[in-house]
Amino acid sequence: MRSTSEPDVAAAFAARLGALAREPLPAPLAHEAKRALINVLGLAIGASHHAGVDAIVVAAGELGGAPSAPVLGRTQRVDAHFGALAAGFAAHVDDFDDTHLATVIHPGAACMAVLVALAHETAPSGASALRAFAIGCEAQLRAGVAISPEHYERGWHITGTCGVVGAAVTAALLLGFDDASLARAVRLSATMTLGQREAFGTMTKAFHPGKAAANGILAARLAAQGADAPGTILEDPRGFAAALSTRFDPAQLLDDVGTRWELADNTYKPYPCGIVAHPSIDAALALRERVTPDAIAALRAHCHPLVPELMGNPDPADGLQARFSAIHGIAAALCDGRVGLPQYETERVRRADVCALRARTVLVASPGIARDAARLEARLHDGTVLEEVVEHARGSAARPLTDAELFAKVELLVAPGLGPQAARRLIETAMQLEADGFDAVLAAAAPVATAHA
Amino acid sequence: MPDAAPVPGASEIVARFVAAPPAGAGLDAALQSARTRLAAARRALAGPTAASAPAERALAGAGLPLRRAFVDATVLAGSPATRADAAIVAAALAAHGEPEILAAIAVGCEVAARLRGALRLDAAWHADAVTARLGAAAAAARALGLDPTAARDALGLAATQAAGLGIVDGTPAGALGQGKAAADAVEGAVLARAGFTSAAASLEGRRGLGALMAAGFDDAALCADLGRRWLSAPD
Repeated sequence: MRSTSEPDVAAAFAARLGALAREPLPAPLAHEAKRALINVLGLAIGASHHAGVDAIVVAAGELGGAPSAPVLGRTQRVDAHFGALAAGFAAHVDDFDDTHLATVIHPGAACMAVLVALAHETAPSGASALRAFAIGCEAQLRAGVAISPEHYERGWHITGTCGVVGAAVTAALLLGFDDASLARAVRLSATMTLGQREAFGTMTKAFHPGKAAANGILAARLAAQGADAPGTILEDPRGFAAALSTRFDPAQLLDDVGTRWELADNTYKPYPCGIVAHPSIDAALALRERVTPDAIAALRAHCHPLVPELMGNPDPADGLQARFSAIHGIAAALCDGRVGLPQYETERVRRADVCALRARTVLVASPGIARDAARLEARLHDGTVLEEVVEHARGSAARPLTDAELFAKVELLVAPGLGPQAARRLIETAMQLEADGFDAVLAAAAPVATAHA
Repeated sequence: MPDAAPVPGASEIVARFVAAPPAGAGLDAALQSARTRLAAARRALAGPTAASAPAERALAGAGLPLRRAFVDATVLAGSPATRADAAIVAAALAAHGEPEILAAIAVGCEVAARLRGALRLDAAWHADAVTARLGAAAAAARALGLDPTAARDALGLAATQAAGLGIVDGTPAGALGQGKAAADAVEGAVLARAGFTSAAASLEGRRGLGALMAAGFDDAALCADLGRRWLSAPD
């Protein structure tokens, strides 16, 4: 395949994606797509009462059209535009969603949000919903690989910029487009990119995948009306790739589609903090099986030098700072035996037990230790020294999160709002999406009408 | 970008101007100029609007304010007489009633004009499309009477959505981009009023609009005498 010399890269890309959508998803990919979907659905439900979702619901009331989409985890319904915005926002706002390590794209949020927003209007079968989601994620990741790493390094939030392209593909497939319409949707989506990293630390970071989803739907709706953008929009010197990066490798869009899947490299975070701290947290959880925190006189975490560099805060003042404190993750693991969103609430971060253990913990930068490894050394008050070694962290490429670990994570996210039964039903229906249909998943994601205002 | 950013920063200065443009001869002239722009827009919107038909149909399910902003700006972007300020005027029209429309257009046009002078945008971007988007956000923020903090958040939402590829300049997709800029401006202003937060230094920050899209960012061209000297309505 001499892809790099093909004119009109967007049309060639769309033709390959369209062909992919006419085949059943390979079974391992279908499974991976369901894992990605469950993860972001759980996150969106867990964050459904975030102040940013409240603001989006208010805006939907003032500016929205007829309600047709659910707000996951809430009883309100909004139009498809604000439904996409709310779902994509909520899935990303805790920084706990899926990550494609080569691009640092979080592909699940925007494509799931399109699915949630258009499910009512397009009534897809379970299999076609899953295909639209998986191929949208794949399109998004391939667009990202084609302009990486220069694109993110300059300061663009790749989850937003490339999310638009993936969201447009998911929307176009749900709407049943032929390849020509799909190509128009892709070309128009390239004019609707968003995402500057200056917004990190504010609600606008999570606005990026949410609005990417809404823009993808808009691109598809405009394409359905015959609107279009120039054929060379991706590769033109005044087009998408040139504006957003100094690199463009069209082969990453066009080669081996259907045999090489970027989505297969998607990973899931077990803990809601910076990924470099995860091996040390794994080691602390293992150590907790052998010792109680008050028996520990001193802890030394031998780790990759990036850990103290990126997450070196020894005594975080609040939940947000704690997300950048490997020492807090270690201490919380030993005190609580788990490291989930509750361990990053400010009240928990400042309680005496965890503060005291943090004060007895140091990070030791060790250039010989790999990024996904750690060695934790505990000296007990009685002089005993215990050691835990982690060779590959949970959720790393070499040691992917197991289904059971992922389901446990999703249950912890969903159960506080909707109850443990709904959490299990959500996982069950999503894992048998082809048989149960996406409606069953959405039903599990909705509170009982009286449970929430 | 200067190493030692002045306090307050450029985005903050622009937000304060948007929230409360100082009265005076400059503002009076800008309002007069806005009246002319509004009249031209009303003439263009009263004429045949076939170019906006795809937008009209594509947004059939959206709420009226966003649909109106989008469709009006698409129409205005298709006419040489109103092209330059299409998104700004449409955002102002969709966001509020008569007296505030003029102030909104005046403020929006000034922010866009200032940014045109302050940014040396990379060649792949269509400069007027990028700056009009920020102007539209300023217009919507002014029309809704946002306070400086909310105005800064609304401008931040616009900055992070800044788009406008050079290749679509002058094409139907370019006009649709102006439509989208106007609708996004109205959406961003309403979100900011509802408490949605955005970057404090979206224009001048290390990972902000200037750093990502332009070869240079001239703080003084944006901020010096803002509200006292009006580039968009020279006296």
